[in-house]
Amino acid sequence: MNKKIAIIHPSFAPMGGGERVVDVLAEMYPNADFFTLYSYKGEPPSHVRGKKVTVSKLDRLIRLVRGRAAYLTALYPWAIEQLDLRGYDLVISSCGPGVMGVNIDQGARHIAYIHTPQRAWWDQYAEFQATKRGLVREAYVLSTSYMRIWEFNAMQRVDCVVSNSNYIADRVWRYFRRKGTVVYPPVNTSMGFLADHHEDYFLTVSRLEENKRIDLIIQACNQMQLPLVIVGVGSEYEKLKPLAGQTIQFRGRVSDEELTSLYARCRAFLFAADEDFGIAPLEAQSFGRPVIAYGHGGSLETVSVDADDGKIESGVFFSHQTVESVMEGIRSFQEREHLFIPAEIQKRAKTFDTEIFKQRFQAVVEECFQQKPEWKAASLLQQTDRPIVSPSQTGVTVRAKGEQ
Amino acid sequence: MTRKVAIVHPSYTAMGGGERVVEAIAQIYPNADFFALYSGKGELPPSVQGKKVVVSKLDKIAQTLRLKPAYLTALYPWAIEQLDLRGYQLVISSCGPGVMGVNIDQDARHVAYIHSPQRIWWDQYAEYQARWNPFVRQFYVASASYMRMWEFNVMQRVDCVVANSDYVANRVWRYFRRESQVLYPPVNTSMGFLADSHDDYFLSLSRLDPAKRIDLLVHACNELQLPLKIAGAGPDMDRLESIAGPTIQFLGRVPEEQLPQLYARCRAFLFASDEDFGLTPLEAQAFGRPVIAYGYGGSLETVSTVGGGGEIESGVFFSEQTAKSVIEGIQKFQEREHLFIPEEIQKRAKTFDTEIFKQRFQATVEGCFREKNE
Repeated sequence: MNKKIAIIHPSFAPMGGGERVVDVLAEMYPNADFFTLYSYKGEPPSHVRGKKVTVSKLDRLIRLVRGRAAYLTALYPWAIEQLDLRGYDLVISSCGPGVMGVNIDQGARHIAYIHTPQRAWWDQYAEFQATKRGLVREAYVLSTSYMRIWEFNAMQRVDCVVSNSNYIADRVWRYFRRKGTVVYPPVNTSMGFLADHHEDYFLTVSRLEENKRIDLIIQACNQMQLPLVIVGVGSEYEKLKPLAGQTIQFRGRVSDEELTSLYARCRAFLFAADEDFGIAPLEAQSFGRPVIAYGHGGSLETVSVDADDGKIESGVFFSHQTVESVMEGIRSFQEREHLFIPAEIQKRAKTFDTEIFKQRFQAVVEECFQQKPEWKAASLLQQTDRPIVSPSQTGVTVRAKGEQ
Repeated sequence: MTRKVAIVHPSYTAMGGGERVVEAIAQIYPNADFFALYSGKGELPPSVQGKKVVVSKLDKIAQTLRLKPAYLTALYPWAIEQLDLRGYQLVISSCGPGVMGVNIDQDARHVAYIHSPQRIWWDQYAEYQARWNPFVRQFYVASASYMRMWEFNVMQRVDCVVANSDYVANRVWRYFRRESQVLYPPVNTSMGFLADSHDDYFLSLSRLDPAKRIDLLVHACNELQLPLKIAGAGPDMDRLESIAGPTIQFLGRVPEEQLPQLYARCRAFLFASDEDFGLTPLEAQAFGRPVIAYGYGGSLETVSTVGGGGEIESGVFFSEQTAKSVIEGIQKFQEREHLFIPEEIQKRAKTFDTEIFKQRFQATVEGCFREKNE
């Protein structure tokens, strides 16, 4: 397959979920070119390094407002539609607010991998709105209203919609009315191993941000006097530190070896965030360790509590984002702890491996090319063994070149 | 059947491919009223003359400001949506940028005949964008962005979408996500006749516009030392004359009555343009003459090559828009020249005739009424 491929991503932020996906895509399609809405600090993901990255015109303007990209929301369509994707046969957008609005060639295919519809415009619109005041709020309300119309519209032109979980597929249907395939994001489960025995501590690995609800985990472990290890740094550290009792340990940023050892020897992994997907619970499971998670969002798919129908039980859920509920979750885990079989948990985690992602995504690509828009006359030409001309060669040449 | 019919078209006076379609449709519906976005220069075609023609408010603004309507793109929705189509049971839009955005009665039917999604907003957007100076460009970018959103939107409300070729149907799906029926535009094949013998020259008939790639034909015929007659005028004339060798002859604008002779006596018709449909190759075929065409776009449908699914061989394709490829096309033609049967070529061309178009269009309209009545 020598298709010309473009991969669009809003911006390469420090290695988050979206960047992991782009990194694996870059590995899958080593000849792809990259396009971003605005530039980034630091390094792009490893497989993107050294590749051609085109940054949209928005970048310069974002620098004028000192990096506050959200202020320029209303200009996203302006910037995205100007990206020149002539000559690309396959366009993969890693979405990302607005990124699906690119204009592509008539004969090309557009696959959108949706991490989530932009939450500040859709499902969390009311919340975000309430945090703003005065003119900023009015500007936000107006620009997001426009973005909702524009984004819905742009989504209708995407050829194949891929969501990163059933949770997101549902949100995509709710706001964009598009159906599609679910391909879970890639998880590196190859580093997972089963330790001979585990230790007494519970573990959580997360950026320390408000929406991760580490506070609930800390308070539950305080009250139950259970040892808890917290890996990760973030803006909430100063608030969380005073909450923690003697059984709680903050490890900050740790090395990869230390992290694998912490995963492998923990008693269970604690997770109270409402995530679209959530990679950390799966990483814990790749070490055969069970997960105690808030039973909402992506966790419903990454953690299995149903041992019926031959399914593997890999954790327990608690039902609310409250300290009380987390404690109930821990108690129900303690009751069932003897039932978890590390080898089975690990086996289940491997179904989320990077290799599986690659296979499934490639299958989507193949299938997408089978679908519309087929052009009957062109396929007719193909059957007769005549060279097919790529659309890039056929655009009207406005400034005529002297041939020969 | 006494349906009140409205026909909407950007402007009736231009006399290009789109206007021919409107002509034929107007003949089907002699009582139709006509609506236009702007009046334009020139004469109304015969079938529209003496009919009620309503021109949108955009026209006055364009005239007052002395601007081409194309510069007022952002006002198209404003103008089109104000057209008063109350009382019309059948609205036929011949689209045309934005024309499909008309508002119709609840129980009316809207059939849109799509010549192409406006190329400068959709598939050729990136190219056109690069042409403007930075100031105009920002204006263009903003209005095109709005028009894309608006046009996609209004296309969802059209009852029946008809595309002028499979190529355009594909584009309609790409940009508007609507399925369409393909109905080739009408070609007047009745003037076609078979000459007893043909002469030595190759023929090109086209507006001399850089996009038509006449330059490739000139280069190829220079190289091969073959006689080429170029009929037509246009902005590319001077440049083409400067590159033309002794075997190339420019005829300028050829009067209508001389065209049949020109077609009927050519050795083959040369066509290097990437067209949505392309009428001239079919006109040449109506005279039984084979076509050497760039194998892309509408030509894939208007010209049939052996093994290309068509039983009748009516021409050869070359695969790229380069002089080298045109030369290869001509050489391939020379090898196969003895195989072409003028009667067969002519027979095939007649399947694109105006009468066939009218029948099919009417069938489409009836189908559209049946479909939605269920």
